[in-house]
Amino acid sequence: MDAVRAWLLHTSADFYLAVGEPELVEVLARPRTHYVPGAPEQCRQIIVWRDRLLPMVHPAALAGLEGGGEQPVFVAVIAYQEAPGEPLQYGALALADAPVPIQVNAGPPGEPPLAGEVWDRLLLSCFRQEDKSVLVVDMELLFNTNPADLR
Amino acid sequence: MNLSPATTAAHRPRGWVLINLAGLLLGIRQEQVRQIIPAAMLETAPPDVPEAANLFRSGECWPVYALDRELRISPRGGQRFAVFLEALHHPLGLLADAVRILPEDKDLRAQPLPPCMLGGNTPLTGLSLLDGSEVVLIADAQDIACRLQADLDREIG
Repeated sequence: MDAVRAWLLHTSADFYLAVGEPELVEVLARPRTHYVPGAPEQCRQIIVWRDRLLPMVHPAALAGLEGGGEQPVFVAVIAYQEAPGEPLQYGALALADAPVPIQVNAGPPGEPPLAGEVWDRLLLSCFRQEDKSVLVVDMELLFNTNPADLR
Repeated sequence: MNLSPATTAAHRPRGWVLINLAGLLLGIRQEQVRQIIPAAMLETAPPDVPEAANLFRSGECWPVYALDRELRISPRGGQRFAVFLEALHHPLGLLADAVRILPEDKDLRAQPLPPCMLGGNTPLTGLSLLDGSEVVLIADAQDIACRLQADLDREIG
């Protein structure tokens, strides 16, 4: 069975995501963050990256979990596209730890550990990795959708 | 500094006013700013009212508020300036730690808030990068006034 190279992202506490190897563009250690008042709880900060302003998402907060604080230890810069052939866009994910390279075996998706309308739309897949539930999320939807429209 | 002489389309003040408050850097169009004065010129308000200070001018009283980083009314600190925004009924003052003027509209390239930052209760209309590292939060004077009014209504209600 084919294995896919990916990155395991420890976002906070026991909340793990995975992205395909090419989706993770850069990891920043303790970048300066800029607070945006009145923004939704899971995305209240901006970082500056290569002359761009990137929204920084705390994915765990979307699940109602503790999001990991305002000054994350690491931030992952993620590339995504609205559709194949479209220009790359970028967003940032707050991490609690450095990303870990993993091999993911193709197979039937696991049972997601979360319930809720938000995850019904965001979740592409789910698998187990060393006893952890790992979510694969639609990054384009995560960064390019008003959170109110996810519910 | 009076930023609002009789305004015509040809004389519309251009550029931006950058306001440092509560660790934020707000960018407001100069045409939405009436006046900037040193905070020392203000009359401190009594402790039982929401405004931090007042400016008495030509028989009018313009209220001045201190804001926290959520842009909510907060107690006055050691701010050095008051920036008066054009609001519906009378100019609305905000206390600021520092103020800068950018003379041209093109000095800030405003971009909309990313979609994932919408859906909250923000008076911001966009963002801009300044000098490669500073993040300017673009705000509209009327939106700030409406948010403050809502805060005041809640306090009274």
